[in-house]
Amino acid sequence: MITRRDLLKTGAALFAGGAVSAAFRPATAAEKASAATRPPLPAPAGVSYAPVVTLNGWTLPWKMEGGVKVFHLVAEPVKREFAPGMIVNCWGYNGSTPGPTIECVEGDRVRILVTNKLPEHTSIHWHGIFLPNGMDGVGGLTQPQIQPGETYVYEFTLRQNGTFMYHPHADEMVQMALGMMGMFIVHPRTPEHPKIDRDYCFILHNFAVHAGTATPDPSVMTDFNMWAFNSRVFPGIDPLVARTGDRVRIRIANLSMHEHPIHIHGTAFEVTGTDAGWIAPSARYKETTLLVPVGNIRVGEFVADAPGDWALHCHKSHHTMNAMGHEVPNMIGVKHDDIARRIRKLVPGYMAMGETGMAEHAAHTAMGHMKLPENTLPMMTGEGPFGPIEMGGMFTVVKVRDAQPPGDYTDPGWYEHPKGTVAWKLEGDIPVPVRQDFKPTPEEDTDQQARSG
Amino acid sequence: MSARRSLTRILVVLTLPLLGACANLPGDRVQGEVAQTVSARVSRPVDWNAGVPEDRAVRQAVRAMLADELSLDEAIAIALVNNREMRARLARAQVARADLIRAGLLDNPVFGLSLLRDDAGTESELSLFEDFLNVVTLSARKKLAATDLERTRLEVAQSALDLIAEVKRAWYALVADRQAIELFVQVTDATEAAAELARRQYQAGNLSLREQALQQSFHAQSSLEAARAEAAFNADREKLNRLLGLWGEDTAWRLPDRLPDVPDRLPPAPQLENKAVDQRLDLAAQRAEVEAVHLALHYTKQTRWLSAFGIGFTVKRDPDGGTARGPELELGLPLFDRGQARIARLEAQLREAESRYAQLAIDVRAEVREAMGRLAAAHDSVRHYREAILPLAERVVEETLKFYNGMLVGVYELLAAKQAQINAARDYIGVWREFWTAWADLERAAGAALAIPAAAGDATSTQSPAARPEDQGQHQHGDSQ
Repeated sequence: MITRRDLLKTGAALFAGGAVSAAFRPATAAEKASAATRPPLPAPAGVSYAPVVTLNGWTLPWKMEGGVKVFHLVAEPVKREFAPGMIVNCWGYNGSTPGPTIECVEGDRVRILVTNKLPEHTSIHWHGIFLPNGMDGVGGLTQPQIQPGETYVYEFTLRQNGTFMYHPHADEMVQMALGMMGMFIVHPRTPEHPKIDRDYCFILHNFAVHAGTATPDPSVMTDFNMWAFNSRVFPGIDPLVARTGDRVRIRIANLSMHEHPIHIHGTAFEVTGTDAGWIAPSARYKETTLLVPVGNIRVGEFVADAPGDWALHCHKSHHTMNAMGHEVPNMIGVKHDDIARRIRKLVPGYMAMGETGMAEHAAHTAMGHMKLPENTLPMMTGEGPFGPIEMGGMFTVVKVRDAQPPGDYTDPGWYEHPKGTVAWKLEGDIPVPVRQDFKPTPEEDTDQQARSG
Repeated sequence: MSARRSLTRILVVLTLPLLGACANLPGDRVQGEVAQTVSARVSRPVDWNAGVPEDRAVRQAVRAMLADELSLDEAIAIALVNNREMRARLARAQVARADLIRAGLLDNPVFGLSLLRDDAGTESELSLFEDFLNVVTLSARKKLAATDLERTRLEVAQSALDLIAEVKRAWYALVADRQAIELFVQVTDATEAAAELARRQYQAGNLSLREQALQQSFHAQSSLEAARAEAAFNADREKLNRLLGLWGEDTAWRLPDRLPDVPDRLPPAPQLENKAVDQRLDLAAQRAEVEAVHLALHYTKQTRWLSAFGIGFTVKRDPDGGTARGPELELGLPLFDRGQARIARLEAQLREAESRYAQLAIDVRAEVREAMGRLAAAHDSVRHYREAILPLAERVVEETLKFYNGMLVGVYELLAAKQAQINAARDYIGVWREFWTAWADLERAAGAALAIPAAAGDATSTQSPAARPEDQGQHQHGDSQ
């Protein structure tokens, strides 16, 4: 019989000696490699398209069997490194979240085997694809649930081309919250005009991995703390690379609970598609911030005509941050070094934070001055060529280079700016700026006076 | 005896040497005996022959012990010589001793002289009369008085052991109070920092009056608790002053910082119950009481027929010069009082004493078991605090600091975690004190001091970080701000 005392002893042993549970062990080399962007699979003979590159992901190989492209997806628990220093216990397909991208051509007959290695039943819905009702993958509605250990076969002919997704339609709250998703790209059979040189895709998602934990909390509905492109967060997201003059397509799906305004610097998206296919050229419009609604897909295209390192990120500033508390006392403008010294006598290692903003916090964590909870990324991080980038979550960089070879997706490093094209620090006399002085009306002033009195 | 006065008696001198031999026994021999008994049971020298607290040498010795930190041993030593109630009990033993001496003495012989003058002349009569009943019962009375002295001696020795136990409990309580006060002060520091921070946040426009008031109320509450702890300390200090018989400038003594370390293991206590029955002095005193009543009964039965027995000698001279001399005998006739009431009374007293003895033996055994149980429970609690509660509370603070570092929680939560850790340390002091209190109670119950098993290293100092914050944790870049 286990007594309460034994349990307490076990608890003490658990904490003693810095034992690290499997949930928090560092990623193995294989796990880290699996989160890197893999080169695309070349288009098969007879069709011409720019193969899709899955950001920090990969494309699923297939076999031809009697004129049918056969894919095999395995639904299973996976470990995913969100960024160096944080490994998350996810569910996914074929060893990764998101699962591998399925890439086909319009008119293909596809047969997709789905093996369930999850601890509970599942199903796969092919989001946006027109197919026989019995292939729609809604567990209980259009098919029996796929029980653990079972393999089901989906087979249909792709009558559209465009950008789609796959995800479970069984216990969605848990299975999607843990990262089960993938992209399904269908290229047109005839070559596109204008020709696409680089075709990227990724899925926006949110996770609730509470600080100090490793498993997403599926009971969280809206208050997420990890905002991911393809289950990676900055600084773990690879750059999107282009050669100057390339026509670049970015397909962005959204499986999260929030809409995301994805903003690109240095150019503008031409919005060319949704999860229902392509927008007629006459109806296409341009914007620099592509708002991707929940459960939807947007495709934006641009010509990479400006070399440089251009940010690409969600414009909600808390989506470009990693985990941060929401009940933290506001210390802006509160001078408290002296109190901090007193608190340090009680809690050695305590540092005053927030008085001048949060940037110093990012600097401290970057320098390793402050230990964070296990498996927890700093809320603002990343080091660029000019200093701290102070970002997290849905942030990466589009790197445009004159010399990037066609078909080469490797990171060219930081951009080397031509002389005189970087903002510089003004030395000497600074002109008097025009500014507004705050003059409160007497009635509104009472509260402020009370505080300063 | 009044009958004797009319008789002429002659002098019998045979009792005189006996009288001289007994007259000047030193009264404080009994002190030495009690001291020896106590000393054997507490494994420490006890010397009451040094004198009363008013003696200069004793005062100097007490002053010397009060000058530096007052250790538990010193407190006990001071209480033994300086506690006036203890002195009073020693005096009581001396009273019993005097009674013993008194019991060893025969009643003084009665010398009578009468001169009766009439017309014929003077008739003189000289008589000496000794009540020989007390000669017959002398040895019985001496034995009874010795038993009585033994009982008193044991009772006084037991009261010394009780005093020692009480001093121990009071001393442990006081040191524990002192340790707790340090922690109360730390909590007050934490709440004060929080309240000040809240005040500045409010001034900067970052906090509502409501939240500021909340932090201030935490501080107000913790200040009150600290004041209460101080008051409890002062009250306990006066208790120890009373036990140590201290007043005036002698009350300005200092205490050590912390309670003695709790040994890793409990002392082996086989047969402690039986040993207690052998060792307990109050039980032995009650045994002596039984014996005394038994003896009294025995002698009463032996002498039940003898209510008066005197022998005398009278010399009588008539006015005409004629002399008559002759012995005189006096004997009580057991017609009415044949001692039956005295015997019945003593028999009842014997049953009373025997029942008291049996009940006390049962009590002693129960006290030993209870104290052993409390000691084991306290030892378990101490270990549980050391091995689980305190490390976990410390871990909570460490991890909360990491959450604070990540801006995942605020400084108030960090301070609250620290307060919880300090409170755990305060509760730990409670069980730490309970261990030593139970120890003192077990020693008292067992009737003798127990050997403390050697502690393997000073575990408590490293395991109670909250009690010693300066030892705690690593300074992580602590002074860079």
